[in-house]
Amino acid sequence: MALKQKLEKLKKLSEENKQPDWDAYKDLWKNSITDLQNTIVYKWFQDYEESGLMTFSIIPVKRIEPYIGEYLTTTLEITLTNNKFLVLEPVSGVTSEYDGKLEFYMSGNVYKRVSILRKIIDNKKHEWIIAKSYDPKDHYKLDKEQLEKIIDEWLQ
Amino acid sequence: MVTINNEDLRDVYHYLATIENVLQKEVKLINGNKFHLDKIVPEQLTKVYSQKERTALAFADQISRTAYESSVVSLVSTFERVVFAKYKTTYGRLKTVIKDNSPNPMDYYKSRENFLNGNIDKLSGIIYLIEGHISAELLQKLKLLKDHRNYIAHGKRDAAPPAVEMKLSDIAKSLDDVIREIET
Repeated sequence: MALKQKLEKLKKLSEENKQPDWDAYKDLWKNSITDLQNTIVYKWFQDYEESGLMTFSIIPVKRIEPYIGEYLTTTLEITLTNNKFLVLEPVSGVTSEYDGKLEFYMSGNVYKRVSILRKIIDNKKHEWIIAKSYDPKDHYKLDKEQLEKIIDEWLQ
Repeated sequence: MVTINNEDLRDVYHYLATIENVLQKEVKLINGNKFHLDKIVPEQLTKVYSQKERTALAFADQISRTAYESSVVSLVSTFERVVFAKYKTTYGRLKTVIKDNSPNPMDYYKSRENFLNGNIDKLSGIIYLIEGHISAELLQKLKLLKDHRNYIAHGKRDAAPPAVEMKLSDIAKSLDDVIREIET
């Protein structure tokens, strides 16, 4: 191997061993939460709000987490008619297998709960996974239809 | 309901599943009747969380969360008690086997019992001991549960939470499966 290649390999290894920039990671996580909430409120479920079937509340919450420390973010609460509340709550910017987790649940119902997980693809892209259980077969890419399907199941 | 073979684990799982069941029924009754909360909280908390529907339900959500997290710690700690009792017993038995059955003369004959490690005192040590001898999937679940227990027990300050939390029945079943693997 030529010296240049060896040096490039060493540089690459050194970059890989660098600690992540947790402040930048935290900002990205907070933005991801806001983006997801905005997508739900202003894109996926806007029709429901306009029809008076849902109302949205954004509630500030403080989080203290390993790696990324303390930060302020928001929980999204969706109020349905008949006093039913759906909550999208940020849990952690880092998890054992994914790059961030929120919980989506129907308040007052122990078993009506799913995890919404962020999977970072590269510096600019991430996708959201909805996980109904620990089993990977129950993990789906999050989109409007999946979210509607879950709410529909919970209301039965 | 899952079948748990280990007696200690089964007892604790049954207690926790019952608490979960009672809680689920009570929380259901709070839905649509916030004042039901006043029937289950301590007297000093009457009317504290029941004045608004949203507050009552949020309180109920936190009771459920706290009960679940306490249950994870209870199940994993029971598992620890069981596997460490087995570890100590096995260590004693192996020590006797080595003491009574080693050929003499042999290098290190007098210190032959020191070749055994009886100093494992953490669950990570047990995981290291059984790694490669139980299925990779089961071992992965055990590692996740250990990390989840540590995350809760250490104040959620120094580890990442699991991406998806397992149901209590799945946790009990997985831990029971590990015990069964250790026993064979």
